[in-house]
Amino acid sequence: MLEAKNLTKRYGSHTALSKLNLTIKPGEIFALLGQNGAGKTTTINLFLGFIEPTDGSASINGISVAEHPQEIKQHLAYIPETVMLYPNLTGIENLEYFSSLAGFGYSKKELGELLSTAGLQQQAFDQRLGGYSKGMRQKVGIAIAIAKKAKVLLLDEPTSGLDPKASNEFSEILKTLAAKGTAILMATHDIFRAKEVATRIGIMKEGNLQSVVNARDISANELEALYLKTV
Amino acid sequence: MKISQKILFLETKNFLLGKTVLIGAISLFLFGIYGFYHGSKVINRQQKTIESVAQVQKNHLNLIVAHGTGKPVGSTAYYPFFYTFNPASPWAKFSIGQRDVNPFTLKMKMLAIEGQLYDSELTNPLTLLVGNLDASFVFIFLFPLLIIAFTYNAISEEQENGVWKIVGTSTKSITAVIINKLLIRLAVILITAALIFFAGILNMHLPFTYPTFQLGLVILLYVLFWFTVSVIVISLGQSSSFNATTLVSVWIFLCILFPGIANVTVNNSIPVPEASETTIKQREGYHAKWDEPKGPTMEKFYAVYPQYRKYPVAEDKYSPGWYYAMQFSGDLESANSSEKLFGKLDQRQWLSENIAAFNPVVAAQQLVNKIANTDLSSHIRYLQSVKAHHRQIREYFYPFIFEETPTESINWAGYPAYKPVGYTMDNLTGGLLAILIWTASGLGISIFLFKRNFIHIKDVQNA
Repeated sequence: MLEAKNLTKRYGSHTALSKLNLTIKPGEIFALLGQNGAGKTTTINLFLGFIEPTDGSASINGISVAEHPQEIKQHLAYIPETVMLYPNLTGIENLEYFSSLAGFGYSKKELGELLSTAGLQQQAFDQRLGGYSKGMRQKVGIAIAIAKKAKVLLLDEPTSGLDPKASNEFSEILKTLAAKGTAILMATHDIFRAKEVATRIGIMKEGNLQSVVNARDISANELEALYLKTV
Repeated sequence: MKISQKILFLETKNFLLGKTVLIGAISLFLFGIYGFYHGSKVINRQQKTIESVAQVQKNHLNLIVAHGTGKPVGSTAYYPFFYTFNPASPWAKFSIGQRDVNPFTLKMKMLAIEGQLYDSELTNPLTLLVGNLDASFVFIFLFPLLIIAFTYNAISEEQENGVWKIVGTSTKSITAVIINKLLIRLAVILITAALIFFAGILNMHLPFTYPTFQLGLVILLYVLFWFTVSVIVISLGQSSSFNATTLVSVWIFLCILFPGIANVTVNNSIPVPEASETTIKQREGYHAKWDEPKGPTMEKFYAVYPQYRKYPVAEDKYSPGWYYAMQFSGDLESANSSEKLFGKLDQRQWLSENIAAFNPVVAAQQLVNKIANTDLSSHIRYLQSVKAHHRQIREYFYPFIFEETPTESINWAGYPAYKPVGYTMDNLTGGLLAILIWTASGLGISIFLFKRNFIHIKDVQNA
């Protein structure tokens, strides 16, 4: 579970995030929409512990990020906009490296199963990552997140630049993870992808969470209209 | 803070498969091979010349004696050259040092010595300007560039392409990851250095004795110093381009600008005009004697060699005994300048070593030159041995000169043989300590900076 209480981040006189109050429960996919600079990435970085809040708190599974920045990393996984892992290692070696870093010792077979679960074709397992497409790299990123057995997944514009097929596959994997009880926070520009995959959608503007809607209660067109009106 | 063997293996594999690693290591290895070849070529050529000295001396004396038959020794003794040489240590191939600038053989006559000490063959100034690409050049000047190439983007590249965030959220200890990355690079750097060094030992036939181990120790400390410099810059947490620019600037300062400034400082602080002054004084010392009464000149000579007082020296005609006494008095009159000259050369060496305490590059270069016996001190020891040999020769021939013995009646090869200066083991403590202290200080600074810039949460927008 992710929880933000009055979470605020200021850089001098500029407020990047203002008094964010948000709870994302296990099994929920929360999509954050907003223009560039709206505060989406700042929110994710605060949950990741990469930056310190100016005020308020962020917590993961009840543990304060600011107070226990190392401990919370065991509970979360992160997939950036572009997954750039180690290009000289194969897909399976990258997965082995990052899962070992997280303290998991998987066998080759288990690593292969994880990559398959993430949707990567078997013939790509032993190819160097440098030759992968963006979609294939995102799948390795997903596999890393799954391998970590993290209960919280943070995604920063994960489908940006993916072709529609790869985006669909990615969405399906997210839904599967959510169904298994993972709490997912996803920052995105893609209104329609957010509508399709998320359970709740928040729209941000200038560091403020302006509105939150249930994805089931709103059509794609209504969401687009609300987004345009808000930003 | 545990890192599994699996992580270590994969991290190493990822690093070794990088483009720069193989190209950098092979390039430096090739430079190393050329350095061994060049050092061996220069020193072997010198050794060949030195080996020919005995035969040249023998032939030369035979010709002189044949020419002087029937004349007194005093007349013939004006002509022969007596050869000396400064044999290279086995480690001179590793570091040619000043052996290409200073003469490694000197031939001298029985005349006044001071002026003859500073005679040397003409050297191509262009060759001197370019310098020697020997093994020490490869290690002292080129190896730091390899260290920079291997390390400058150790973490920054991952920060720039986003991997670092995934690493940061995957690991329980970012400290362990950083140490892991740095140690892998250090291991590859040390293995590369060791391979080149051992290839050098085999190629140049360096003996497995104490000085070779000393060379290895200097190289090891020097490599650690440059690695620490890289680690300090990495620990600033800046971009790859910033790291590369900073490290190359540091290299230019430490390897080129600082030694240049230090050289000018040493030369200006301790000017040495006495080489020419000594020569002029010595020449004036004996040239003036032609127009002076012989008595005072002879008295100066008798003060050192009273045993020749019994041989009469007429005031109104030329006397070989007086001629050589006059040459000797030239040396006596320039003795003070000569002493000053050698004293100032010692001072220069002392000042250089003190300046080197502020720059491990200069310290390392001085250390390898010391170990190779190719530094200024080694040359001064050679000059002193030439002076000592000159005295032995004079003292061997003086009795024959004063007795006016016929040339063919004496053994011209009977003078004491020249004993070259043997290998001298200098004290290396100061230089080694300087490199060690800089390295340890650098390590301390980088630990502090890593803690500040990497271990704690960074308050940077879009970090």
